[in-house]
Formats: sequence, structure tokens, C-alpha cells
Amino acid sequence: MVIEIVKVSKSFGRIRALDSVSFTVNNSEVVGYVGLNGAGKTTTIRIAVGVLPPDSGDVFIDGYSVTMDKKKASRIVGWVPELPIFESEFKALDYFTYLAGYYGISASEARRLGRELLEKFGLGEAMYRKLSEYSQGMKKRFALAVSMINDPPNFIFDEVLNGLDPRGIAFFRELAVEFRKQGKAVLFSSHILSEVEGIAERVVFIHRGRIIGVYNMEEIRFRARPALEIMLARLDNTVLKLLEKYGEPSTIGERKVLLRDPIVDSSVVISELVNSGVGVLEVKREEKSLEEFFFSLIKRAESD
Amino acid sequence: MNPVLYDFKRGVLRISVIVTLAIFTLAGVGVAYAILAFIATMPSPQQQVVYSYIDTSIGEFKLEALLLDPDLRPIDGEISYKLGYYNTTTLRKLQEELQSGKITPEEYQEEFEKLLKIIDEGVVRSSSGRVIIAKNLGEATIRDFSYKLYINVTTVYGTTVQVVKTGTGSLYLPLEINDKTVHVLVSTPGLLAISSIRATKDVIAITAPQGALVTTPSTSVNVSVSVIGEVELSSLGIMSTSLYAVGFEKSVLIISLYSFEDTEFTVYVEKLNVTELPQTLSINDVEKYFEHVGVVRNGISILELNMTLLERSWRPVQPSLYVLLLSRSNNSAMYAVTRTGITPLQAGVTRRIVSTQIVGSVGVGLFITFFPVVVLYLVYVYIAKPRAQGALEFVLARPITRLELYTTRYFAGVLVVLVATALFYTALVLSVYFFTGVLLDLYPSILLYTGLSLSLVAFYSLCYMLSTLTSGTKYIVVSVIAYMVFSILWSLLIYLVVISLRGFGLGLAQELVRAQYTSYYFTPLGVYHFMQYYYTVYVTEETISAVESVINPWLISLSTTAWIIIPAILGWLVFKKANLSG
Repeated sequence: MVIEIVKVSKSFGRIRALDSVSFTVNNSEVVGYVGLNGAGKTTTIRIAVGVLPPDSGDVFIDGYSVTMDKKKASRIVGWVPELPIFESEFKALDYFTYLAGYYGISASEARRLGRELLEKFGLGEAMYRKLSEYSQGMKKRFALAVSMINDPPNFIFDEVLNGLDPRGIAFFRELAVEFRKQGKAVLFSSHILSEVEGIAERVVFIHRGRIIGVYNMEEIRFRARPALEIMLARLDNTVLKLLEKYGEPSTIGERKVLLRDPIVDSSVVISELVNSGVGVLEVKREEKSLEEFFFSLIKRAESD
Repeated sequence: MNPVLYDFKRGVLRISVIVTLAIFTLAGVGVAYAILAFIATMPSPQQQVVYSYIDTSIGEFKLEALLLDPDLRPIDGEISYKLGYYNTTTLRKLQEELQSGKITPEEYQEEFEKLLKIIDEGVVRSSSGRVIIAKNLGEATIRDFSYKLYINVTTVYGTTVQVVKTGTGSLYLPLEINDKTVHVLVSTPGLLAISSIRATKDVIAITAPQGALVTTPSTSVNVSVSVIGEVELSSLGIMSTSLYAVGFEKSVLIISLYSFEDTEFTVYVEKLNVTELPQTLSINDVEKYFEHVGVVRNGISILELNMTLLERSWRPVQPSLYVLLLSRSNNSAMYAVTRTGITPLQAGVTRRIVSTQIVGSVGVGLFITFFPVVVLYLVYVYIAKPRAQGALEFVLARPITRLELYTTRYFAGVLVVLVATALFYTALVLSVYFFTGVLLDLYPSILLYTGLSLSLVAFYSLCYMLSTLTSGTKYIVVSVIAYMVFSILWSLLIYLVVISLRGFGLGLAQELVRAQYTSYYFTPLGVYHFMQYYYTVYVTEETISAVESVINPWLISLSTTAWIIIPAILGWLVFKKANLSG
């Protein structure tokens, strides 16, 4: 019910893919994991599910270390990779049965469970087909079915919406929400912030192998609202009072003020200020989307 | 289901492997055939007993033959025969002309061919080693004609060749009684002795009476045969005997008998403790000098004697023994006596021939040369390919450690190798048994199976290690190179090294053998060659001193264990940290 990533570092040759990455996913929580392609999301996740050994640091699934206690940890975490790869000469149900063997499930029970889960995730028609004939979406559903063999309390979706049709996207988004309701800890990675908008409570941002910020969704939404950036000849409390009529002003410099959520057009604000005898030197309208917020984070991280 | 078993099952139950296994099971059968074909090209050690007559009064032709393997056990095969006749007077003239130099041997052949008329021919398969043909020739047979029989026998032990042209067939002897002529041909293998059947009231003449000495060429051209005996053409019948000392345990007496009166004959063999036989003896005294060994009738008989006819030095106790056939009625008797040479026969000739060929280059050698290809493919399927694709990660995300993933697939492969080898080997041994009746002893069987399976497991181990260092196509290239070096080029490389180091000269052959066997400690397939050597020593009871000087069971165990375990461990050290994302 808790996925803890603790100071995980990993290099591939001379490339440092992860640099002391730490964050936690709690129970009944969906955490978005957002970063550009190549930022280190998939590497973090591969380490988290125990298929890639970290250079240092560790991941704990409900307290079990994936490096020291991998079998126990693997038993309680599900994983749907971005591009699931199987030994594709197998038929789906056969491969399901094979993998179920690692959970100590008998062949007959595994086949029964396989039919049930593959049916449940929309692969009922295709369970006797070879995995090589599966589309990306089908492969993800198959990976999901396999991960659900023992209904683990922790789940990791890696770029799962990539390459899916709208129905597939809706399916996995609803599933993540459903898992949260069931009390599972869900990590949901994406390179598009808006993809996790409706489902994640918290978003962890990663850039070039480093965590560049962890924000609540509300805060992100707040920061992404439109605003007027106004440069004034003078700035004092009366000016701020005046501006409060039209939105949420906040000082961002000596003579600079940011007016969030302006309820009127910028020209109305300017004329009001001028009429009150406050000189307006410059006005910029800031239309920030979620992605712009994300990019501003990256920009800030790079300039540090 | 246990993943090892499941991996094993999927290792075995994939179309490619099933096809491969089927191919190798068939290969087992095929290799058995190849062994037989190879044996068939060797000088034919097979034997046959023939009994045939042509009754001119009614035109009846009878041919009975018994085919024997080198151990004198009945064996099945195919007999093609031709029966021909010619005018004796004309032939005699021809022979005289040949002797006086009037015609050349070639002209004689030509004339003989014109003279010979084939009246019957056919091809018959034997059943339990026996062939019986009875025919009415219809064509009236004339007294002045002679008959010749040409038979070619094909068994797994080879084919005898009797060319009709050259006339090396077997001649029938024309026996005359009661105004009718019966042409008779009796022949037993090897050192045969023939004799006439004579009538008596009470006295048996042991020394053969004076009469026409007839020598008949044997039916088998590959075995040199001398004939001892004399036949009277006006006798009551004729018999041929051969006596074999088969190892130290038993002796076999082979009799082909034709008697006008088809009745029972009691068979006696001279007692071993008799120093000297009288020239004649009374019927009542027979048992004093002879041992009763059985009863025979017209046709072919094989009697096993409980007599040891061999000395420790593999020499017969006596060069020959008298064999007496006696048939008594109320007031008269018929008898025949031959002085039959004893042929020592090493027991288990067949077994030795077959066993030696099983490990030959067309036998198991074929398997050990080509099965490693299947092994390297198996590793490709288990590790190299899924690793190249990145498919191992999804498996590893299950509750399984990396070490378990590594060992599970390792042992599944080992199991496939053991089962495939067992299938091939069983198919081979059973089909060899089916074709030749030779079933390998347990000990050499185990030796050979152990050698085969352990060397393949060692090669599997090596490939498994290579698959952790490389993957996909690169693995194929590297493992095929390893295969070429260890399986195909190894001997050649060793020869080249030895010759370049020491040059040609005396003792090179010994040196090569020594170097060869020493080098086997350094190849994963070496254990097979060692086991093959031990197998050959067991089968032939002969050791090779050059090999003995370098072969050591402890070193073999050490080398084999090292070849299996070290690559597996090195492979693990790489696999432990490997990035499996393809």
C-alpha cells in the first residue's frame, strides 16, 4: 500500500539516468510521475518493480526491499509497462498460465483464473491467439491481467495511455481511479501533465534523472491559472487593495504585481490604475496551461 | 505448475523442438540403418546352409536354405536364386578344349553361358532365417543334364555375389537309385565335410570307402572352403556337416541331409577321450566310441552340443571329429560318416561388429556432431532471443529472483538435452536391436549415454554463458563459432598444432592420439570422446596404450564438472547485473 523510492541512482555507462531519486506513493493515492521522454521515468519504474538493479538506493514496496526481498516485493506490486514485451510465440492463455506458475498457482487454477481475468479485461476473444498478433493496447491489457494474478495492493502504470485509442485511454484512467478507491497505491507515469490531471492527487516531476518538484494537483491548477503581470511606477498597499477588486494580486518584485484570475479585461484594470494616479509601465497577460507550468519547472531546474 | 517443468515443457512442446526431436528419433533409426548399410559393405561374415534336390522322375524341385549371422543364429534376409542346367557331355567337351588350349577362358565362358539354360529363378524373403521353395519344374528332366544353383544372399551382414556368367554356382550331384536320378545339393558353411549314405547289416566302416571324389564349390564365395569327403554317386543319399566351437561354452553341429528314404537318423559325435577309432566297428559298439547328440531327418538341422571343443588358447581340442549318422530298422541300417573339421568361432562377433559401428562416424558420432546445433538453438530460445527482445523483464517482474530466472531456464534446457539424447539413443539402440537382434549391454549403454548427455550439457552450459554476454543475432554468431571450433574443427586444430610443433616423423601417430585425447580435457564435448573410448575398450577388450597414458577418470570428472559449472557461474555473474531491456 506504500511505494517508497529512496535515493535511487542508476547510470548506464557514462550516462547518469537517475540521481538520488526519492518519493513516496501512499495508499489510496494516485501519484502522477511526469517528465519528458528520457527523463528517467521508465528507469525508475523498472527499478521499482525489481527488473533492473539500482546502483545505489532502494525501493520499498510495503516495506519490502526490491533488492533484498524481491520475491515478496514483486508479489505485491503490479506493473503495466509502456511497451510490454512477451515471448510472443506463446498463446495468451498459455503464457498467462506459465507466468502464474511463478505465483505458485497450479496449471488448472491458472487457466481458470486466466480465462476470468482475460475476459474481464476485454481479451476474452483473443485468449487463444498468439501474443505476437496482439496490438499495443491488447498487450497492455494482457500485462494488466498478469499483474492482477494476485490483485496486488500497489500498482505502477508506465506511460500506459501512450498509443491507446480513446476507449483504451478511458479504460486505464478509470482503472487507476478505481484502484485508488480500493485503497491501492498507484504510480502513473506520463510525459504529458494533462494526462494525469483528472486522476492524480499528487505529481512528481522528474527531469534529467532528478526530481524537480512534487506538487499537489490543486496547487498545479492554481499555478496554472491565467494572470496579469503588471509593472507599476509605484507599489503599495492601496494599489494592492485596488487590485483585489479584480482578482488575486500578489507581489512578485519591487514594483511588479501578479494578478491571478482577473475577472475583467486588462484594459479595465489599466484604466482603473491610471485613474487612481498609479503609473502603469508594462502589462503582460500570462495564459499558463498545465504544460506551461511543467515547462516552467523545467526551465527553473535548468537555470539552477 | 513448477516453472522449471513448465519451461521444460515449453522447451520440449514447441513445434520446432518437437520436430527436432522427431528428426533425432528418426535419426536414431536412420543411424541404425546407416550402421547396417556400413556393415553390409564389409566382407560378409554371414553363413548359409543349403539343402536342395531335383527329382528327375517327377520334375520336383526343392530348395531349403537357412541363413545364419556370424554367431550362427538364424537371421532374416533375401535370397535370389537361379537354377540352371546344361548338357554334361557338351560341357565336358568344352572343358577338354579349354584344357588343351583350343579355346581361351573367355571363349569358354561364352560357350558355357550359351550352354546354360535357366529353368527357374526367383527372389524370396526368409522367415526366421529359413527359406523353403518347392516347385514342379514341369519340364521333363533328362538324365544327361547337370544342374547348377546360383544363390545370392542379402542380410544385414552383407551380400554374397555369385555371378551366373562365371559359373561359380553350386553343382548338384546326380544320385542314382532304383533307376531314377535325383540331383542333390547339400552344403553347410565353412569347413564342410560331405559323405554318402550307405547301407549295412551290422558293420560300420569309419574310414571313407574309395569312390568318386567330388569337390563342390561352396555356396559362399567370400569364405574359403575346403571340402573333405567322398561321395558315391550310387549311394542312398548324401550329407554335409560342419562343426563349430562357439566360444568355450557350446558347440554347434550343422547338418544338411538328403536320404532317398526320408527317415530318422540318430546323430553321433566321436567321444573326446577316444584315442583311436577302429577302422570298422559293429553297430552295437557305436556308443562306446560315439556320443549320441540328437536326431535328424532330411533337410537342414542345427544341433547344439554340450561339448567344449576349445582349449584355452582358442585352439580346437582336435583338428576334426568323426560325425556319424545312423538309421536302424529291423534287420538293416543306413549310415554316413564324415570327418568334420572343428572351426573355432569367437562368440559375440555380431555384437562386436554392431557395437563398434554404433560409436562409429555413421553412428552416434553423427549425433554428437550435429546435436550441438539444437543445443545452441535451445539457448537462443530460452535466453538469447527473449533477452534481445526484452521479454525477460516481464517474466522477472513476477515473484522470482534473478537467480531463479537464470537457473530455471538453465535446468529446463538441461532437461531438454537429457530427454532428447535419451530419445535419440533409445531409438537407435532399439532399432539396432530390431534390425540385428543385438541389444547393447547395460554398462556400455550407460557409458555412451553419459558421454553424450554430459558433453551436450557442457556445451549447453557454454552457450548459456555466451547468451549472457551477447544476445540475439550476436549470440547466434558467437555460439556457431564455438560450435565450429569444438565440434567440427577441434581434431584438425590439434593435428595442425602437433604437426607444426614436432613435424612428421616416427611415432607421429602415437603422438597425435595422445595429443588428441589430452585436448579432450579442454573441450566441452571431450567427455563424449572419453566415454566412447571406454565403450570401445569394453566392446573390443583392447586398449590403446597412447590413450591409456593420458586418460584418467578423475581428470575426466574434473574437466566435465568444470565445463558444466564454470560457464554457468560466469554466466550468472554477468546476468546478475545485466540490463534485460533488450
